[in-house]
Amino acid sequence: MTQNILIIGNSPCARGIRADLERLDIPTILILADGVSADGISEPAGELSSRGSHAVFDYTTVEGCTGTAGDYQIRLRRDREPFTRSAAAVVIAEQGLQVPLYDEYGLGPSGKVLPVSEAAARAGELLPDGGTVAVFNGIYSESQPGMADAAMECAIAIAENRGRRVFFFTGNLKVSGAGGELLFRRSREAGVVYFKFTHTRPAIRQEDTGAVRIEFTDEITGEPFVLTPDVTVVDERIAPSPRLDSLAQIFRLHRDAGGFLQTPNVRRAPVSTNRRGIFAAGPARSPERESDAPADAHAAIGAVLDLLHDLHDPGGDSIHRRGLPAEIDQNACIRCLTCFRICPHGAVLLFPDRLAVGESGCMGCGICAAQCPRGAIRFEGVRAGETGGAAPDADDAEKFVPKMVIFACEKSGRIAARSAPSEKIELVPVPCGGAVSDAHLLDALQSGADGVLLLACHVGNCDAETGTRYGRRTVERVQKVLEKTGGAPGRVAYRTVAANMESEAQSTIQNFQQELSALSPVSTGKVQGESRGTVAIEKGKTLS
Amino acid sequence: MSRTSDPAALERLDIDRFVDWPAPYQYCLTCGLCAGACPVAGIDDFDPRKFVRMVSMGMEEELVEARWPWICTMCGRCDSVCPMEIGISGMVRNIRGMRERDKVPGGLQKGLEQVEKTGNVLGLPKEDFIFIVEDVAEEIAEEPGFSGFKVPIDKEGAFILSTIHNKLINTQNEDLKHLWKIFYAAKEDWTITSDYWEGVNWGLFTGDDRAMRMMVERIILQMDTLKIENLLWPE
Repeated sequence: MTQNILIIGNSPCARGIRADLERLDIPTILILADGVSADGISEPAGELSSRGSHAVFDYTTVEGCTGTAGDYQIRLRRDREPFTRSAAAVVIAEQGLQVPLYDEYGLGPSGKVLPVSEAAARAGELLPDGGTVAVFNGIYSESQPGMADAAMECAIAIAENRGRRVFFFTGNLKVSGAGGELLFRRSREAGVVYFKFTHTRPAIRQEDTGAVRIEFTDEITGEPFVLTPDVTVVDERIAPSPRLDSLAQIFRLHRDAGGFLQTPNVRRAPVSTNRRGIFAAGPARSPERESDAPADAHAAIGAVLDLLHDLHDPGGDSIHRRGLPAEIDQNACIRCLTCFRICPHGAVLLFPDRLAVGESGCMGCGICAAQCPRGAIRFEGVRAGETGGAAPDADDAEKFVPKMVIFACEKSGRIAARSAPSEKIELVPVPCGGAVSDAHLLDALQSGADGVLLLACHVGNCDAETGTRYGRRTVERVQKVLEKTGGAPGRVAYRTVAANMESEAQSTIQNFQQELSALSPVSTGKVQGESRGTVAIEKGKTLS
Repeated sequence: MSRTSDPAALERLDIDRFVDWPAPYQYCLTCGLCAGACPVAGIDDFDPRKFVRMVSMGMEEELVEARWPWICTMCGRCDSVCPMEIGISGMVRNIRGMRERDKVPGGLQKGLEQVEKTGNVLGLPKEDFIFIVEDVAEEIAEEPGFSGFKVPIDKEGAFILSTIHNKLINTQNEDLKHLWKIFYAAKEDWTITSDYWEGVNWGLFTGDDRAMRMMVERIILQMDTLKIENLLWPE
């Protein structure tokens, strides 16, 4: 098995990761879409080079990827020459872009209006001594911390020169990151004057000459002001590299609303993506500031080492707990691609003649098995026990107490419901809310439960990202089946909790039990055999 | 404080106007803790945060003419809560000091002029002062345990010189007694002076450094003349 780590990108973060791995004697392959930058790599530019086990390919594009964590095959192309390299893991750290936000301020570029990056580069000769400059940052939309830094640095560079006046117009100035407060302080010492807009907005107008006129009220003093600056500096936004479009497709990665290669999943390590062994670091995963690149590089190194350790010793003491892997029964599979499409971890591999779960990439959520229309995926992660013997006798009992089965996600519901009473309740831990299938719910009813509750993660808290949504859809589907066949749809329910919501879980369970009390007990025409067989519900009515 | 006229051209503000002040107002985060702590915030729309903001924009004319700096009680709560340790009350005093003296509100300026002429805010002649303090001393001497009490006036070489708040001479004579009784009980070697006994220094409130200096120099002169090394300044 290869130990290669393939790094994609020319950002400081990518170079940092490569340097660190080199020091650790872990072989690397660096893929650059463009040339080798002067400050980065010690190899000769423009040439395919390899020093020991550390290779650099410049002017190279990524064209495809097959395989699974520990054994990815990456198809590459350089000078029209296709070639393939193997890698245990891939780290994507493509540099982002700074996009000027002219439209946001109703301005157009001119000799007097320019973006932060350009103004910073030409701070010295931008305007005559004693001139005035307006800097816009995050007034209409939240600025990114990296851009707030850049805008403050630009303001300082201009203000430090010969009696110029710099007025900084901002909304929510992002100074919470490392060194942000210090930059603000330095800018104040340099004489930069800030105007913060919380309830009001400045009126910004650009004349045909390109000159800008700003009218506003200082929110603290209530004083109205007008400014016609010699130069106006417009905010920028850090956007993901356009190359992330194809990389996301090739590696089957989920993206956030901004297009970066990491969704806001609370359960994920800093550089992890939805796919095991594919990492996104630095400007490929968020619009973070350049000063955060070393931290991201360290996180990537940690994640890579962790993965290599796990791959070497799968049964070892991994900190990333994974469930049991799923397995596709080739005889039952009809190649409908449902599993390939829905696996949130991209762990289902497509071969010319079959589909298979890449074991090292499978996180054991069980969504594929629950959603497979053929029941062709073996998954041992859900083990419902016996829900009890004889049915409660409604005539004898003083009061009808319903029996319940609760399928509870190990990451949320199971922890929150740990102190639920065990009498009349069977708590079935599941690796993910999405691992529960129609058959699981119906089986529980068939074996005598009066109701079945799926206690899953809140949307946005799901480790498998889409799992809790699949759980909800499964419950809704079964509710419809019950309704159509004359049963009570209220016998199955989907509720969400977080692991620390113990009392909420308690009352959720109690309320559900109360709702069930209003229904009559399920009769117990227990049917043997097929899980999708007949289930007896509602006083002998049958469903097939 | 709001202007109804046209908006001011930002370029014309003298932003470095107060840059020499020791108060680091440029570090103001506009957090508003000062405004939250201020007991008079809201009166005439005054609040310390606005005040600091106007200083940072060099708005001298508006500040000197405003009633704001005179609403401030100079209690210093803003200073004690400011996370950037800006020293706001000191800046208020600076602004007060920039107003023409005949426009200082209330009786503060008149009192200072009286002090300059007569040595005390009341304009009380020396004979009357001595009469009052000796009268109070006699009352103390009549109380059990204080027999023979006398107030030492202009005593050369005393250990402590104590100044007096003019209010205690004017209307609240009873309050003179507490401190003096303590001196007696402690067998302290103390004295008051018949000239320049005034302990109240209104230059503090009007931002008048010249007047403050004058009064302090007078007290030092007394100490030098009487060869006293320790000063008790109860005001």
